[in-house]
Amino acid sequence: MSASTATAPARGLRAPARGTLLGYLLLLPAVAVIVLLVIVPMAVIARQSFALSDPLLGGTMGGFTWDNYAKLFDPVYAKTMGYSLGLAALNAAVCLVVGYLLAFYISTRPANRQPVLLMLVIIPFLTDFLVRTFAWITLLGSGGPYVRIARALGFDASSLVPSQFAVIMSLLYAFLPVAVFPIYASMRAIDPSLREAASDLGAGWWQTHRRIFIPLSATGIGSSIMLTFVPTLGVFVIPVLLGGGKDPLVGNLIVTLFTEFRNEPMGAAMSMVVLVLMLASVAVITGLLRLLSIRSNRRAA
Amino acid sequence: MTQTSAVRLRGITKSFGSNLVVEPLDLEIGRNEFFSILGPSGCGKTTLMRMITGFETPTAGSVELDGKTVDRVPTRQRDLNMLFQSYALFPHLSVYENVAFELRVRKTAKAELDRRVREALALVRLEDFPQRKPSELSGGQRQRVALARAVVGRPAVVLLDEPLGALDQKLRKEMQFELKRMQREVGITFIYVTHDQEEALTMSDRIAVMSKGRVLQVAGPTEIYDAPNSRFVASFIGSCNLIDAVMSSADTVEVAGLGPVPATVTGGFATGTQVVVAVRPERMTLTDRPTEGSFAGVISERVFLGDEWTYHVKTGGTELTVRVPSGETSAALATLPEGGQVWVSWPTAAGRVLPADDTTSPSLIGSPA
Ligand SMILES: Nc1ncnc2c1ncn2[C@@H]1O[C@H](COP(=O)(O)OP(=O)(O)O)[C@@H](O)[C@H]1O
Ligand SMILES: [Mg+2]
Repeated sequence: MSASTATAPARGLRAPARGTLLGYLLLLPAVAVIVLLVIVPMAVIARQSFALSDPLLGGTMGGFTWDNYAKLFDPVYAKTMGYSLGLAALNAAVCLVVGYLLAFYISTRPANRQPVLLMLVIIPFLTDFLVRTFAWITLLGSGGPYVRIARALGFDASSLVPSQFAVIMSLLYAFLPVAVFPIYASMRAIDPSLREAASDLGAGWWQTHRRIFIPLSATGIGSSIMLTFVPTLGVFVIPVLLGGGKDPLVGNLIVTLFTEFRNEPMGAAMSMVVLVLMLASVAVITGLLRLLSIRSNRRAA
Repeated sequence: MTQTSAVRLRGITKSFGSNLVVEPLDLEIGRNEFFSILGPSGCGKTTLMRMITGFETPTAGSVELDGKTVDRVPTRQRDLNMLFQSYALFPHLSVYENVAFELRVRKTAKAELDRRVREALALVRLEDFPQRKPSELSGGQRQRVALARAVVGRPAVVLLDEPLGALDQKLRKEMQFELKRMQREVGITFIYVTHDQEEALTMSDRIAVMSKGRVLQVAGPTEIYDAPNSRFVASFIGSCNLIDAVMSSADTVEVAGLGPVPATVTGGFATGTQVVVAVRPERMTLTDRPTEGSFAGVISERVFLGDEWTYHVKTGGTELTVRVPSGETSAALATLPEGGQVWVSWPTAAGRVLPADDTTSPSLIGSPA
């Protein structure tokens, strides 16, 4: 009995040495998926972004030019880019604040109630993105509950769609779960007695968060910012449906360039710029986090 | 007496749902007192302590600190600090910053802060590596950091929840000594929770012995040891022979199979009441021949412990434990085999008559010694 359990780990250890080839074979599907669905399309887009556009038929004509990038400096595009970055930053900030508070709230509930609360956060995520967006039109639009309740209370309310507010609400709703989860994961790892220790040592709500919980969940906060900021840059349905489409986002622009203007090289160039922006923001956030942890290491003089 | 006590509890009670964890209790703890709460695991020590800090709201009763009711004062405004069982050091902060935490929160001036942090670190003898993180410290060092952090703001009261529980035996002894030294140096009231009776006896000015949510006795270490007021206290602190007996008159007790035994009767027990006679093993004398008032018995087992012998002696229907210091064992006694005939005796003062059932003993009210 005990002899067989004792030999089991030894057998387990031998396996990888014998099956290195098998190991690579097992990796193959994952590698294939990444190469075919990520690397190849990206390479195609990268190539297209330097190609000449075919003004008559759309599509590309080959060749090599920087023109597609140069044209992006046109004020119209630059403005869209700026607006997108601003909206993404705003959404990331709103999601961060709400997500942080929600994550803290959930992580401080009794252990048996936490899964239920997390489920409630996830449930909206299980419905289709479009359905969720339309739900906001119904909620905030004319004849919806917002207008009716406000009127019943005697306020002169009218439809909030289209508006910036509706865009932000819908973005928050769409991205809240991805904002909550990384922070919740960090918070759950924090010893609950630290909170009591902090209040025992005189720290109020803000001090406790500033000095203890925010630094200790910094990795989660960083992930949360990345997971909300970066994807917001690519959003294109929400601004059209809830914002009236007057202020397009980069995502809208790319769609327009590809489908309406049929200028594939420029669309590709725009996509590359967004990609670079995303990578840059990931790098910046990671860098900041590293800097923060180094600094808190050296704090004491 | 004009001086107010550091902590005063009035009728404090705590239940979690229908589970009564701390029964209504009154307690007064004096200034600069080293006060221990001693009891087995799960008896409600931590809960009692958390009500004093304000982490738990009492179901009933009230807490006074320095003569002022603090029932509505949040923890962070109470002039006390707690040393957590798990230490609860901030893992992302260095030793220095952990200790400085309270002073930073209270916006202490930089120079003053530095001076006091260094002073606190010196007090716990940890001046050498203020930059280290808690994860780079040993258990004993973490404990010292936690202690420095708790005393740096000079609170009136420090509550320590089994602070030495996680340390090994040698370190425990060292820290016991250190804690006592510190408490004397800084002049802070220490409320010390432990399940270790030896720890409580060696360090405390007074001890409250708890069992199942009730404080059974509050007294100094020698009184707790020499004059336990209940069966539980007698057996939890040190070892004790608890001999079932019956009151044969107002001041004599009789044990089945032995007859009347020497004992001091303090409580007013009615004749015929079931009681126990508590006698410490080291207060009993063992001889190889009958002496005045001794009981005949047979050695059922004897164990050599270096500095003493422990004899288990069967007398009448009762098994008694007798301790004899190694040097005092007579040659005749030492050569007796197991099964040999011996006589056991003890002075009247060594036998204490206690209620047979702890639930009938009065819950004592403590006041500063
Ligand atoms: N938050 C709580 N909810 C429910 N029961 C609790 C809680 N805290 C403690 N208890 C119960 O109260 C009793 C006493 O616990 P505690 O005060 O921690 O004892 P000790 O510190 O003496 O070991 C235990 O039975 C424990 O299960
Ligand atoms: Mg405890």
